[in-house]
Amino acid sequence: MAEKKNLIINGSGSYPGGTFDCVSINGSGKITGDIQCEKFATSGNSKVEGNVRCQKFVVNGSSKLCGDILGEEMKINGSCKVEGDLSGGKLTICGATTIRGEVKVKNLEIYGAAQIEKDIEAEEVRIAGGVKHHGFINAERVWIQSRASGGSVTFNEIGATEVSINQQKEEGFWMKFIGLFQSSQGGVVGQVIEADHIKVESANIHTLRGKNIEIGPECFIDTVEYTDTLNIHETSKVKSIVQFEKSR
Amino acid sequence: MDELISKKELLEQTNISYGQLYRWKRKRIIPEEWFIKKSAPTGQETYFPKDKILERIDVIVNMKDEASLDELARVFSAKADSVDVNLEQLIKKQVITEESITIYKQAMGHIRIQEMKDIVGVKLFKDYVISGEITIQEGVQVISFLRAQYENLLDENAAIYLIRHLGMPLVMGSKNKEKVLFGEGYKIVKCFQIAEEISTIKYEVMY
Repeated sequence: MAEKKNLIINGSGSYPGGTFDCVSINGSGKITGDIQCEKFATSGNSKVEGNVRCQKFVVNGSSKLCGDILGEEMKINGSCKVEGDLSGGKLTICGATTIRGEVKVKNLEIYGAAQIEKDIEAEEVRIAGGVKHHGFINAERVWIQSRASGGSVTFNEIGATEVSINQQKEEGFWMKFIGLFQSSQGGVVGQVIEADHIKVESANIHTLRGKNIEIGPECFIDTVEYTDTLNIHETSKVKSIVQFEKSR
Repeated sequence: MDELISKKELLEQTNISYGQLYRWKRKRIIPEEWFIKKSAPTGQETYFPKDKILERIDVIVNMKDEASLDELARVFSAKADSVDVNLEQLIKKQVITEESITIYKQAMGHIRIQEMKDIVGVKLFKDYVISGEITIQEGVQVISFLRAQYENLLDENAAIYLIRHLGMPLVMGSKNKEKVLFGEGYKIVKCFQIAEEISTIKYEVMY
């Protein structure tokens, strides 16, 4: 078997794609075709016009990826734009990322400001940054953590086994001071959550449907439909509550 | 059009949870096409084709302990063509018969039965030609169409239509059987759903 080579573009090079061991683009490099490799790393202002298939995928800097990405371990740190679908094992987003396609991974962690335009499918979803999502999140477990000091989370619909939304307490004098000038309404806004176990805090959600629902402090909920248990904190408001026959 | 059932009714009737429903959707055991969004007085509601989803959930719930979800996913996904075609077992399980294989080979010109699309063809011959629902010529037309358009017919909603107009048989396919209109004087003799036929075959092969 032929030994695979590395592809390294420093500066403003352009390359047609292919199969490599390691691909590294620094500067404003461009790849015009599909790439298959063990490790794909890019820093700077790079562009890939084809699909990327790799084990490890790391983006630093502002990259544009026009095709689909398939990887086992993917990390996006800079301001990245992905036009296609992203799928594979673990995806961590720390920068300002826009993904136009679907995300289908085992683990999804978002710490930066991400915008994902189509549906998300994952076993575990952890969101701790500013996220805007207009599609559907289908996952086994979803954790959303909002911060009073910024990073609001907006979602449309979640379907899962377990959903937990909580607000991180701000530490330190200045953070508490900033908190005084912010509205007390939750940093998490969503349309619908359907899950067996739901726990929410500081959230503004239209409809919650589930088996066991716990509504913590500072929530505004329009409709709650549940079967087994429901707890509502005294500082939260729920407009209408419907209980269905308890599941056997 | 199939009768629909709302998500709420479905969960109540089958006693499954949201978590299970969405897990099965992720695993493609319940096809995405069956989640039909419609506007309702309370906002948007999701509906399912009633007979299909009830039958599928019944199978999943009864099989769950014996087969892993991934095994079930292989059975129910027409596109995952990973089941070995075992003619003897299919004959034993009466999915196809010796007679249907002979007639199929004669009619289609001695094709070797080795791929899933051949099995589907033989099964259609057994279920519709030998039973007398359609003629051999019509069967041949349907199978020729199936062989030519196989990849396009694997979607859950895709179908082959056998139509008669002024006594003449016509065969056409649709990627979405809900979105086809027929004029007056066109009689739909049969609508064949290939994805469903394949999942029946795989199911019988595996268990």
